[in-house]
Amino acid sequence: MSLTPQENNDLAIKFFETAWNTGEIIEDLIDPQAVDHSSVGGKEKADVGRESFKKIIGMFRAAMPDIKLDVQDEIFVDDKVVHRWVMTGTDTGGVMGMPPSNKNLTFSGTTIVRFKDGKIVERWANVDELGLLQQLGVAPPPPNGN
Amino acid sequence: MSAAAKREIIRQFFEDIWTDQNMELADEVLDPDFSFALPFVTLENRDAFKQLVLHNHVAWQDLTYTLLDSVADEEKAAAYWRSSGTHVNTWNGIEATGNKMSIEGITFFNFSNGKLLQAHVQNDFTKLLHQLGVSELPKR
Repeated sequence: MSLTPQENNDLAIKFFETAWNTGEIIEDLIDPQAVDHSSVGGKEKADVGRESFKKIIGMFRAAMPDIKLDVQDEIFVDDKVVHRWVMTGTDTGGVMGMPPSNKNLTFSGTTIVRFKDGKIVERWANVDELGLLQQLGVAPPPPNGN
Repeated sequence: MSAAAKREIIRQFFEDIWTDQNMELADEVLDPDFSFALPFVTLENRDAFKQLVLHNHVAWQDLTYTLLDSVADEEKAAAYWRSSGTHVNTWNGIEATGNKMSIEGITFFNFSNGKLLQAHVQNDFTKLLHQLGVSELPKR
């Protein structure tokens, strides 16, 4: 059952808002063989399956239990959905193995997913990890565009 | 403007403008108020963006952008891409290392009257800094 781009986007919003804002992964919406192409946290190769996504959600929600996803812009066409987003949360659990800073953190990213038959089968994402590290005071100052 | 026409402009943006430094084409397809927003800085107009392209080609030899995928609807477009090059001159205060870099990113584009008006860029700067041997970063 192939869905319309609008229906795919509705499912993507439901999937990502539920995952980030509550921690629940709606398994019906992600294929068991889904491919995760993102390099968040220094991941070097594509992972297959639901676990890699569960791990990322778990890691960020453990660090920031009040994390909230805000989708700022979107594209949905054919079998793809693109979301440009900002996340905010309070670092009470410690980000990427560091001690908790108790800071309010804000970071942005963009995610592309491909749907097949109402399920996510591929995911690409780029996240402003450097910005996150800078807010925690553990990275050098950002490039200035020059 | 059709989705196909937008995807062609996106291809030109990476291959002809970023890689081949075609500034006449930049003037043609970018709005004068084109903004180029990285998470940590926003270049506010087309001229500032053109300077960035030229400057980065000085810092990076064989700077090449490869379009890996693009998506477009009637108003917007997004691209997944790879950038590679060799660090031959000072970049971001880091003196030439001779190291090669290769990172991926996703850019979200908004159009106005058939011209590119905004780009929101996300790329793997953390990976890039690791490839240049920046040691202050936490291990990944």
